[in-house]
Amino acid sequence: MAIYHPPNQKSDRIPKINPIKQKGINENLIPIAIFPEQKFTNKEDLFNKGILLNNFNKLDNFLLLESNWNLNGAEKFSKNLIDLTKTVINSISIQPEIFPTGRNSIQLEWEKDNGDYLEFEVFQNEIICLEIIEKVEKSFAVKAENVNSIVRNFYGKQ
Amino acid sequence: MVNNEVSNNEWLYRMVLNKPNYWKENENRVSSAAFKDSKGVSVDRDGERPESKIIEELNHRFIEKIGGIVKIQAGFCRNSGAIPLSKPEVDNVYHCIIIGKESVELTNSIARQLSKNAITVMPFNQQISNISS
Repeated sequence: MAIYHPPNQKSDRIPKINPIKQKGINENLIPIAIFPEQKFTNKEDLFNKGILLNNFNKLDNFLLLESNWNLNGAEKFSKNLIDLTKTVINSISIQPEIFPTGRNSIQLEWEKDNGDYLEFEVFQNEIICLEIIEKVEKSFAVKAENVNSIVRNFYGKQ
Repeated sequence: MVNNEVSNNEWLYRMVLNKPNYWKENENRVSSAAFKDSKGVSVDRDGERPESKIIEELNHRFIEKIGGIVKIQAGFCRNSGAIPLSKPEVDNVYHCIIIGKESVELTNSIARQLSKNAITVMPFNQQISNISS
């Protein structure tokens, strides 16, 4: 059972300037049970945790989509695929935008202002990466454990 | 009567669902995920109809589901490596699907090209109100 921050409780887990709140994410919905001992040491960390939880919530909502949810015969998403996607995004330090596809996969996306683009399409049995950097495209299969390093590399982080 | 051959200068209109959300707010366009479908990407060709009529008809047909509408030219699809095919339905003679050359599904690269070059004709969640029934 998730434990929630009380609405008005002051805590050293929440900085005075809360980037999550600025992004319209309700800080009171951060279940601290997921990060029981973790101190949020900086705004970026807190921000990404908030987006992660928002993405978990999106994925849970994809599970509620019924067959033919796209009006073109798409199948219902399996819990296995949703759980796999949660495992992948939980390992990522910079959270993506997440979208379902009509071919039984979940798409993770990052895009920079300069047009550079990174995408992972998560299927039950494989993950396909599309990377476009300075208009040069690469597409390849990746293992779940390598996704974070590709994302960090995309953003120039070690 | 609508010709079976989709000409290069015809516009193809894609209804984008309101839920789940495919709109990328930062980029102000739809995600390429909206162009990934195991049965081909379902679109309506213009068939020489005025755009306002096409938008109105799509809003009518998908009144509870529609989030936005984007359009892409058939010639652009072909240049990107996709194939627009006329696939009329009993209640919609303008129906088409966009498929890949080697399989029905578009590659990630082609889906990306289509989403990036699609023109928004009905912005997300600005459905036409008071549509006459």
